[in-house]
Amino acid sequence: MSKNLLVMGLAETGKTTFIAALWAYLTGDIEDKELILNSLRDSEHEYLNNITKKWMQFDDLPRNRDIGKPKEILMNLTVTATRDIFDLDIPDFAGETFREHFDSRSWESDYDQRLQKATGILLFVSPYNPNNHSVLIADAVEITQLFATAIHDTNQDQTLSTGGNAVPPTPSSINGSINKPYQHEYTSNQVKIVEELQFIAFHHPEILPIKIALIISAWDTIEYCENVTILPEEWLTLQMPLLHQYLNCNQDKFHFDCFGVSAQGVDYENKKLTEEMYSKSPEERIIIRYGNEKSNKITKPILWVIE
Amino acid sequence: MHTSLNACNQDQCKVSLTGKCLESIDLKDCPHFYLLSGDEEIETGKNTIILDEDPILTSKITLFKGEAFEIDNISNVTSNYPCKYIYILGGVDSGKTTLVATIFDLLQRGSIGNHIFFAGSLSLVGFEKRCYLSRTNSGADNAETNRTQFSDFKFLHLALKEKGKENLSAQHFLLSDISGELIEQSQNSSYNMEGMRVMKQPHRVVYVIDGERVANEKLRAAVIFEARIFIQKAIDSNIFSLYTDLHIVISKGDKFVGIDLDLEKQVYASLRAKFSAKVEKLTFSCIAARPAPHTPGFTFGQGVYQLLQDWMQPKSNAILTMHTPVITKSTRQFNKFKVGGLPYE
Repeated sequence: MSKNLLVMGLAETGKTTFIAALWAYLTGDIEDKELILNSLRDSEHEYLNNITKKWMQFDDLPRNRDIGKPKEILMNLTVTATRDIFDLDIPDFAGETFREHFDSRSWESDYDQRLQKATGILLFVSPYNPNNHSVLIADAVEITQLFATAIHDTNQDQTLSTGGNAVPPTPSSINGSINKPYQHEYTSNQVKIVEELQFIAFHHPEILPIKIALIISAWDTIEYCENVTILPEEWLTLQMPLLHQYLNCNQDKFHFDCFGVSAQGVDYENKKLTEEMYSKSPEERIIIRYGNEKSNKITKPILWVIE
Repeated sequence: MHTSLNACNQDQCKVSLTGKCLESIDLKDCPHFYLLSGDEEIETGKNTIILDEDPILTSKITLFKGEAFEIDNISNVTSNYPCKYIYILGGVDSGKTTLVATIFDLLQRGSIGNHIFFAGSLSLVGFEKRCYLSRTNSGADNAETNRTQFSDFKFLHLALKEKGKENLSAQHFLLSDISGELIEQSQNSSYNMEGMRVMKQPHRVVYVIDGERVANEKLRAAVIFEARIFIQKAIDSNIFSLYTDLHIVISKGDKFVGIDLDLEKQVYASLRAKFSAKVEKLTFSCIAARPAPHTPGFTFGQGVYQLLQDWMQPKSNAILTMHTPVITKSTRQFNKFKVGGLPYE
């Protein structure tokens, strides 16, 4: 039996980090594993081993920039609960591949063939990306006006003493640019992801319905307080509302669920927190938020997709 | 030059999608396969695929374009989904495209009125091209809309669902984006009004009157005159009929702030008296799709939800369109405006 999962997501959304953490889990000495790696025989794991070593050493992972040329990843696994044995094929595509689909309105025939065999999708989004949704000038003006009022209130004495006028920043002064003709880069990530899903639905209806585990990466940066809980689907509703609506309205095509995942566990820029992580076992770094459940089981989204 | 890769004569062959022959025969040698050049449209059996490049040479599969549709290729949508045509008419700069763009902008922020949900669009790039000047990354200080080109008579596809009906099929709309110049030419000439005959079985016809001109005492009479003339001419030419659900929208409602104007008395009443008996239904509303920031009492997309809610309701005599509007090629002025094209361009 073969399970072909398509790992989708724009650049820097945590796809490779997830795969590295998964490989660390599968090869690690962990009790009560839900997924077991059957054998390392007859396979090439140079790429996996390299990214996993870097992940374990808290190093930034190299970015795969080869559009259309994924890193091949094939694992022979057993589901502990059911004893089902299957090959997990999860090629690691460069994020630029998916941007390119929107921009060029085409994809490689190799990708097309993989899509035809796909039995599930792991779709990654990053909360860090400022272009997840578009910012309307109307909204920006409201916000800048609020800031201007606050600054004005705070600096009223100073303004009066200099005789100057507080000029609220305008969107263009924030942006530092003038009107430009339309370019695809202006389109938000949520629109690009919806389009990718529409491409799949339109050009390969034979693989539908298909399950999508929507993985919101860097979850540690969202749920950074112990007493603050936000559910992954709530985050999606707020930050990528068009994508959420599309998925909700097309459940006959895409059966989806949301997972908050921090495969890295910590922001490496935060030296103190990172050093605190050194004493922990690799799998303890991982945070998985699935509904109200919080664990460090990196296999959760995969098991949900293949079940 | 565009190259269309036709479906193979053999039913099971996916050559149009994959570029590979079912029988692994070299495509140059396969007797069932052939490439077509030019503006021919190809149906593959499930969905239409038009390729820009030769897939044999590039190993690329071409996907749908995501642009606005033209009359010539609208069947790519109507043959796949039952669609409701919404014709949005009005003079130059009246706010037709801004209305369409605002609908998409609102959906990008979330469901509209917590009731209407985005279910898809085969014209996402078309919407983006009409919306981007309302966004900060366009670099504009003030939200704007790209002017619809003089020759344009296009459609944007939008699928919507209502709250509580997420499990039912989506409603598919084709929102027109027609240049104001075409509308103005039609009101001046029966010859050009004939071009409007493509408006077959509209679910709704929305005539947008420029609220900024209504708010200006000097310009008010003229803008209402234009609307009256267009509607009268459309009725006399049987473009509008007793089956037409006509909604007159006054745009830019935020321009009326501080102005003593009774829209019912000074605008709606005379139009109602003149036309209500000549169409199936005549309704009025005032919207402010993109009001100036900080206008008291106005929010982004004011009145758009109510408009959409109305479009989501069935039309008593509606027949869902599953065919292409046919236009006879002619030398008429109107048809000169059309730009021929391939599906998904």
